[in-house]
Amino acid sequence: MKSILSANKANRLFWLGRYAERGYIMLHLMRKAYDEVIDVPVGEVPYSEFLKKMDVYVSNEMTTSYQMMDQIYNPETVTSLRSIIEMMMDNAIVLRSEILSESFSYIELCRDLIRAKSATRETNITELQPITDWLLAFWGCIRERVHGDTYALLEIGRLLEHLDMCIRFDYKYYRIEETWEMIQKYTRSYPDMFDAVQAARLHALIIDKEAFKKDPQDYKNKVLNGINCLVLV
Amino acid sequence: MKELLAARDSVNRWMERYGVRFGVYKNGVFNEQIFPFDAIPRQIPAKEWEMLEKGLIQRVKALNMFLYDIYHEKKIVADGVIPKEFTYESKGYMPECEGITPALNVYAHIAGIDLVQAKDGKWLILEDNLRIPSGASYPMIARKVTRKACPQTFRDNLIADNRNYGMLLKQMMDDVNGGRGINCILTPGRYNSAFFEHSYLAEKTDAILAFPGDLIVEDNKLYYVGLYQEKIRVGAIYRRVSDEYMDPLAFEPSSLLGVPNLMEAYKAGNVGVINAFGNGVADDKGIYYFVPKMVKYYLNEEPILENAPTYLPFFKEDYEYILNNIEKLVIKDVAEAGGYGVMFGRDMTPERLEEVKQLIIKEPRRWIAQEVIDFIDLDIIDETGNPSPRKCDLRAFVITGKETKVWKSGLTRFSRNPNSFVVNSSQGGGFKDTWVMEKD
Repeated sequence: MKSILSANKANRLFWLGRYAERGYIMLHLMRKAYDEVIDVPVGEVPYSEFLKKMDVYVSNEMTTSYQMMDQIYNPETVTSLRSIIEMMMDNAIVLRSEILSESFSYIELCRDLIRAKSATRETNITELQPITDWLLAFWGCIRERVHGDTYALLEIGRLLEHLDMCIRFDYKYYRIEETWEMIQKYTRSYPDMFDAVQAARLHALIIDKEAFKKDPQDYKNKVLNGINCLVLV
Repeated sequence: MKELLAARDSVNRWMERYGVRFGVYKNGVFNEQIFPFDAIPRQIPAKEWEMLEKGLIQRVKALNMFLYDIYHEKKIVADGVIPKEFTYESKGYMPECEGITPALNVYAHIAGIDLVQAKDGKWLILEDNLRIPSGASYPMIARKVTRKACPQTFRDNLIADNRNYGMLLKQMMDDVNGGRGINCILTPGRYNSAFFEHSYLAEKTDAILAFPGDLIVEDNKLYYVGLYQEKIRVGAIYRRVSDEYMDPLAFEPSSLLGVPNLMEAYKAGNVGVINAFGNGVADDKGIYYFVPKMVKYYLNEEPILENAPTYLPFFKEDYEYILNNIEKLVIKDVAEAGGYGVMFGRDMTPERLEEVKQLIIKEPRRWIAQEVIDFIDLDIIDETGNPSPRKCDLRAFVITGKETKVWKSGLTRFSRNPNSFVVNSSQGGGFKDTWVMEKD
């Protein structure tokens, strides 16, 4: 179903989908990192794996625990959860009539909570659980109420971000393959939204299981690059 | 009512989650604020509403006839009912609109008429807002939330359902559109003070929310440019951008908010503009004085609703009265809105009073003066959780497409400061729901 969308709104829908998924997975992985830190051997730097995978420079000038807090709350840090939620809102606020007030309200709730918790730099990460719950509710609401191109753009954003995070955090190959299959449904149904050459290249790369096994870092870099060049909106 | 008061905090939380805010620029910095909602509604009995409805329809009809006349035959000026100084010298008068007839002959499709109720129960008109009146979305969403929070209250009281504002607006937009294309709401952008309203009304009317740059004019027709550069014809545009910024080729050349050549498309009758261009001449505070005369002139009827007692320094007798009684009057700059340019004589120092007198002497056409109306207080729940009286006004919304209808509700604004008469949201006011009762 065709929706009436400007190029700017299409772009914002795509990025809303990406940021909402990034926020959701990031928070999940942060909780995991907080749990895993208990077992980090003495002498090793806690949280360093998580930070590296998020492309965060691990500084010697501050503790990684402090850097983790920055990754959650610092609005000046572009990769922080706070920044990601602010970006979600920045996109959602101009899309109310496309995503409808009910879906919008879950983004608003996430933004209000992260701002409130940033003010006190809440150290108990379980206090951020409502953000996970609201993001799930947001997607539920989107699936229930949004259709056509509008839905497709949000979902394309979500799936590409999902793929990005699966690659960064070394998810098992089948997860990557599965996500790519879902993306392909959209490359077929909405060919105008994708760069066909990039889509073919990315496809060739993703199905090359051997390359994944042989040089995971090289494979990672190529796929992450491919993801960022895939969508035309 | 107890149920409603108990739910006050949860209602306010729901409004927050829906992003019910308005933006304010202070010292060049944009801040979004919650528009405080008070749970005690204003209640208007059915009989009283019936009178208000008739009076508002009558007034808006006359104002629309005036606008048509001013941009066409100008009979009301020729007949000496309104001096030309209040029409062609008004900042809101647009010579570019001369001879243009909008769809259905309607200029003010959405009129926001501000009223107060005096202590003797009489309703008085304070202002006619005919350019881009805002505020309907707040009671709309407040009602949506309070109905869910307190169903029993709404079951027990016979209150007119106000959730039809989106439908009224859509019907009017469709009337103006005449099937020429899609309906659009044009917003200046997310940093506009009323952006919540723009986006919420787009949602509730199924109109496309357009941003500057989304619209183009080709062959004197207006189009929305889609994702693949496809051009989708626009039949009606409900613009939330001031006249002077709407077309850089016709008005302010530096404007980036408008659509080049929109005026040509409008002139050619290819797009309906809501509200029409040039309405500022009728919502000038100076012209307000003449609205009861317009009612008599165009409709040959006695005005059902009266103005607040108003003086125009333009007239010699009024001029002298104002200068002699300035300390007990409210002085208003005719070109200002939103509570700006309103000065209460009783609050001014003798030096300031003298300065204002000099301003009036220098530019008598720029000012009006009104008696301070001792309008009724309505209780709000104050910061301590107790009922406390505050000054309140009512903005009624009158919608004109093929027919003129009054929305059975309105925005009741209250002053948060117990000593203030200024209720505007930009001045820190809050709002209440307005219940129009189905029975007395």
